[in-house]
Amino acid sequence: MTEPAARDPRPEAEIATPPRGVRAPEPPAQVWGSQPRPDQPRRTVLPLARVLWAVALVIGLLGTAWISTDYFRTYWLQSQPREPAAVDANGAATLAGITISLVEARDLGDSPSLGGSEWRPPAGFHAWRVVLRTESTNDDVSACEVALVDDRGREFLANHFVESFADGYEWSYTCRRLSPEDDIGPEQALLVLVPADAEPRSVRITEATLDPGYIELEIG
Amino acid sequence: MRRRWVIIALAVLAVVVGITSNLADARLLPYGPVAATGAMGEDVSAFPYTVHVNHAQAAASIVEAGRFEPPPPTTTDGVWVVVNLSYATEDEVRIPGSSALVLRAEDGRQFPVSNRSPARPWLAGADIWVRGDLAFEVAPDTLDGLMLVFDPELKIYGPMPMQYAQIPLDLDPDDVVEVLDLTETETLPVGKR
Repeated sequence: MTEPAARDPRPEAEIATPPRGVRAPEPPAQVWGSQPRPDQPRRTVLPLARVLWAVALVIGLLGTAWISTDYFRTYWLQSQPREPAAVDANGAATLAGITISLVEARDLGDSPSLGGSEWRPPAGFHAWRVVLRTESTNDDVSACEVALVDDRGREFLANHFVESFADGYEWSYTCRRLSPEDDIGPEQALLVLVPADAEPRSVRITEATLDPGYIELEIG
Repeated sequence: MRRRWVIIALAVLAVVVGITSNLADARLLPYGPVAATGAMGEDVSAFPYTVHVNHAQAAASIVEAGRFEPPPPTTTDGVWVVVNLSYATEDEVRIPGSSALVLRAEDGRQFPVSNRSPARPWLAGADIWVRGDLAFEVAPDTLDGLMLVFDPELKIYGPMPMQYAQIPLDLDPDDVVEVLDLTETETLPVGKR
């Protein structure tokens, strides 16, 4: 049994009606899940189950993509060629507040005269002297790695397999901001062991926290 | 009913794709380490390293190298195997990880570099060969058939397939010396191993 529609107790004159010539207000918007009125265009309604399926599918795909790209994210991106810092007209390059220019890269041969040391390179090797001028405002790094790079792409790291305490040479290349207490001048000389048949073409300066940036200075 | 069959077919397809991709990954693609078997006295590639075993000797105890006053010999419940080897890299200065060099017995048992030995893997450079001793503690019954395995386990790009080196040591189980002095590492002249 249906109840009869409740009558508005107000007199008909008090019921708000739009003045003549003005359109009546639009009926309320269709609510999801309710039946559209026959005179309105039919709207697509997404059931909750279908939405959950879609969300689960997206989450699954994202998870799969994250796991399957582990190698790409971890190793491949790091192995991509990096771009060295630009070298200005004076031959200096600046990276993260560290400005470096190459003063000298010279082959000392197989019997270098090193002050305070009688060290000689093993047979078939030469010692190279690399001098870098450095101005740094970087307080986050300490030492940078310096390597001679030859025409075959081989890197020969300074201060390895050589005499560590030769007079006039640093045993580590300091690239942080220098303090007055530091006993280091603006130019630092380093020793590098290089096979006699290698032809070094550039000096590469790297530091792990500056990756992927680095500085590469051509040997003139 | 038809929808149920579609779901079953998709599930079967997912399983088949998974099995196929795993098989292809394990057996068909040209990466993943493969063994390069060499011999003592030969250069063997384990990219980016090249390794060369000079000799190996079993001993009951070892003595640390490079001390002004040598410490007492270090004994073992098993047998020491001291491998004299050198290696260099192809590209830059590197040092092998602590698990890169192991001795593998014929039955598959593996013996890492002993923590009780001061000798550890060392730095080597591009075509800069460095020689030294590594000491392993092994079970006495494995001396016959021991093999040095050098697997850098580096995920870097290089010639495919990546290689690890395995070099039989040709040890005589009856030739176990009482004490063996370890030698210090040495950067070698060009051409020396």
